[in-house]
This record gives sequence, C-alpha cells and structure tokens, in this order.
Amino acid sequence: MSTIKLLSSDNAELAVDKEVAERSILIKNMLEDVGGDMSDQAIPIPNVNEAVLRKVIEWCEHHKSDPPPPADEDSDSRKKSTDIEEWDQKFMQVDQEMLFEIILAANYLDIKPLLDVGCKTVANMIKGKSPEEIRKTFNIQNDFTPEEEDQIRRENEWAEE
Amino acid sequence: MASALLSPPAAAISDLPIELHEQIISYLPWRDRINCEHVCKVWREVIRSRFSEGRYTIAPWLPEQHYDFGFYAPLKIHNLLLEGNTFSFKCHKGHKFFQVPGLVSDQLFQELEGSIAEDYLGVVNSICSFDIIEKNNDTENTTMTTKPVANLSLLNDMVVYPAWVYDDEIVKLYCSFTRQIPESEDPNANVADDNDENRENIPPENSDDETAVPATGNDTGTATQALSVVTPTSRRPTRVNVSDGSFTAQVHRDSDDEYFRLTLGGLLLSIRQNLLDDVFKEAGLDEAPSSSSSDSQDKLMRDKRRRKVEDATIVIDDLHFVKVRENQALSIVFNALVLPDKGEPINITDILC
Repeated sequence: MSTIKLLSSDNAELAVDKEVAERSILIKNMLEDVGGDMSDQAIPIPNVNEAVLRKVIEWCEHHKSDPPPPADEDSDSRKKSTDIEEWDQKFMQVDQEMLFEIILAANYLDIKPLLDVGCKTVANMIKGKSPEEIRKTFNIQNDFTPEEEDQIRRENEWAEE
Repeated sequence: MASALLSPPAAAISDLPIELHEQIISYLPWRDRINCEHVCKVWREVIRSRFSEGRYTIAPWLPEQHYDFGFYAPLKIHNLLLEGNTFSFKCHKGHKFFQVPGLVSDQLFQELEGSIAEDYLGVVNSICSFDIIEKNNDTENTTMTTKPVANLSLLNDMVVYPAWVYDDEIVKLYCSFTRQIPESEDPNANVADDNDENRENIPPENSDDETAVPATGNDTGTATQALSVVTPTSRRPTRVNVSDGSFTAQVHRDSDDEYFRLTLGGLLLSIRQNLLDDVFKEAGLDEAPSSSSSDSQDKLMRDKRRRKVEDATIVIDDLHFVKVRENQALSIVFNALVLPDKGEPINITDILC
C-alpha cells in the first residue's frame, strides 16, 4: 500500500496510507490531478496544524473502509438524526477549540462524514439549552439591542409552556 | 500565507463559515432552533433566511411541518395547529389590518401601536384587542390562557422565498372550513332540534370567491374527530355540522418580489370574517338585495342582529394543512365554532329575536 506525506501548517510531516488520506476529497482530487504519485513530495495542508491533522488522520484511519455516504446529501435522515456512533462520540470528546478545529479541517479537507459528526456534536451541545446558556457555552456575544431583546422576550413568552 | 504559518488563535464557533452554522442548526428540533434564533444576530439571520429554502415541497410560505414549522409565526399558535389542538380567538372593533408595505416583524408591534396613537393612514382599522384563548385538552381540566394584544407582533411575518408553485398561486392560501355548533346535552335546550333543522335547510355554503378550494375529502375524518372536542363551557357536547365554506386568504407579496408574507394575524381575521359571513348568510343577515334595502327599519334590525354575532369568539379546531394538487398553493381545512360572548353557541333563533 502506498504512503503519502502531508505537511501541516506548522511544518510537521505526517506519513499516511494513501487509502486513508483519500477519505479527504480534497487530497483525493489532488492526487488524481497529479497522477497519483506523490511519494517523494509532501502535500501541504496550510490550514491545519499538526495536532488537528493527527486527529483527523486518526478518524480517517478508523473509517477508511466505511462505505461511501449516500449520494442524496440532503436526505431527511441525515438532516434530522443527531445520532453519532459510539467510536465517533469518544473521538469527539475533545475541548471546544479542538472540536471546531476538527470541523474546520474536515470542511477544508472535504471529509463530509467527519464534518457531519462534528456538526452533530455541536448540535447536541446546543440541544435543550436556553439562549443564554448557548451563548455561555460557546462564548457568543449577545449582539441584540435592548429593543430587540425586548422583542425576543415577548417571543419567549409564547414559547414557554 | 504568512498568517497561516503562525499558530492560529484557538478556534471558536464564530470561526465556522455560515454554511456550517446552517448545517449545525439543521440538526436541531424546532424548539432548539427557536432558542438559537435568540442567541445572536447571525443565527437569527441563518434561521430566518436560509431555512426557508427547500420548503417548496410543502408550500411556498408556510414553514414545513415537523421541521421548521415554528419559525415564522407565533410559536404557540403553530404548536397548537401542529398538535391539532383547539384554540379560539376574538377581536373587538375593527377587523381589518392593512398591510403597510415594508412592515417587518420586529417593527410591527411598534408600528401598530404608533399607528393607533397617531391615526396613521396605513392602518385603517386596527385591532384593539386580540385575545387568543388556548385550550389544553390533554387533561380533564381545560385551562384557558388569554394572550394580550401585546403579543400581536408575533402573529405576523412569515418571510418566504418564491417556490415551485404557479406564480399566481404563491399569493393564495386556500381555506376550507366546516362550521359546527355544539349539540347540547341539556334536555331543556332545543338547540339540537334547531341544529337538525338547520342542517337540512341550509345548503352547503358556496363561497362567492371564485378561487374557492376544491373539496379535499378530509371532512369526514375531521368531523368525526371533532365530536370529542370541548367548548369553553365545562360540558362536553358533541357537535353538529352546520355548513361548509371556503375562501382564499391573500398572501402579501413584497415590492421586491422576493418575500412573501402571510401574517397569521391576517389569516385569523380572514377566518373570522368568513365564518361570520357564513353565520349571517345562514341567518339571512348577509347584505340584503336592493329590493328590501329601501326599508330602513329592516336595515336597522339587520345591523342590530349582526352586531350580536360580531363579538363572537371563534373556536378553531382540527386545523390541517393539505396540499390539493401539485403546483398549487397549500390549503387548510378546519372545523370552527362561532360562540357569542356569553359562551353559548350562536343560535339562529337568538339572533332573530
């Protein structure tokens, strides 16, 4: 099995099985473009640092033999279920910075299933929380004006049981 | 490139591109989405704009059921509609709310208030009081909550994108109703007899509206279900169908042609007006033909009788959204009761005496 090298943003060179690396559509397309032979040259991944890249590779290793995702990207099942398989749940038990770095990396590297898992993880962190708790959890600035706040408060009256 | 080589600051949720916010929010059930709408402006935008896409399979302006149903209109109302619960509402004095172009949800209430104060021309007949009485029929005890007019702003604004229905269909919501009256169990009341009489004598009402909705075939099911529904009194009378009717509620099209707006407030008012018209028609109080209008005495009496009905509370239950055919706007079907202030059903003999 051929091995390729990836170069992280902080200049770390990581050797990866080609099959594993090709979970990333970005890398897969890149390799196809150059005819598949990148054994002598590291592929730069300028947006992803070593720690995150290692994490992403770990995920790709575990999922290297997954069947391809269904073609219908917007199928309802994908949209509605936030179920995450057990291994992925454990994998995503990282601090928030790492979580978002993984999501960004998955987005950049075009690893759709990993992106889905990341977004579902965030969605699960939002579930059941009040707006204030959500802000607190993700350190989001409340950028509503007092008037808008007032409007929101009225809207909340409706939503309350 | 240089900045990429530096160790980047710790990633936060705000670093995610907007489409990832969308994806995250897409996983959430509607109640959580509502909370998200209140977190920050970006999410509010995401939810209010992007999630109206893809709804075209159901209807151009109505949020998709089970999905983002609660977004563009009063949550509670939609909640009620979704669960097929009964709710009733009444409005006093003035039943016409004129759409002021450019009116948006955040400003609506302020504008409405201001308009009432300044007698602004855009709002011709403002709603002075709009009480919505919710009825939880999950328990034996029915609890009634009155929502004050202060919440009226929430009744409005479903901002939507144009979608795959015929262009002239976008601005229509077909409404089809079965008007009912409770069948009293009180042996002293003769309402039941009247009902039977009414049912035979009153032909199914056909709306004057040319765009009346075709029959949906749903009526049998909804009518059967309605038998167990309670009225504001503690009794649980069964109901008798009095008449059927249909009308078309207009969806407002913004001048930029990109947004369509069906205000639920407007819809309820439209429902009310049509139900009252139905009652008037049954009682022979609809606009009299020219032959008798010369008699001013008759006109006075008619107006007096009409006023008895105009304060009525409208009870809506079993409201369902149905799609009649492809490329047509959505339709709603519901059962309705018209109850005068004292909480008893409109009885035609009452009106006539």
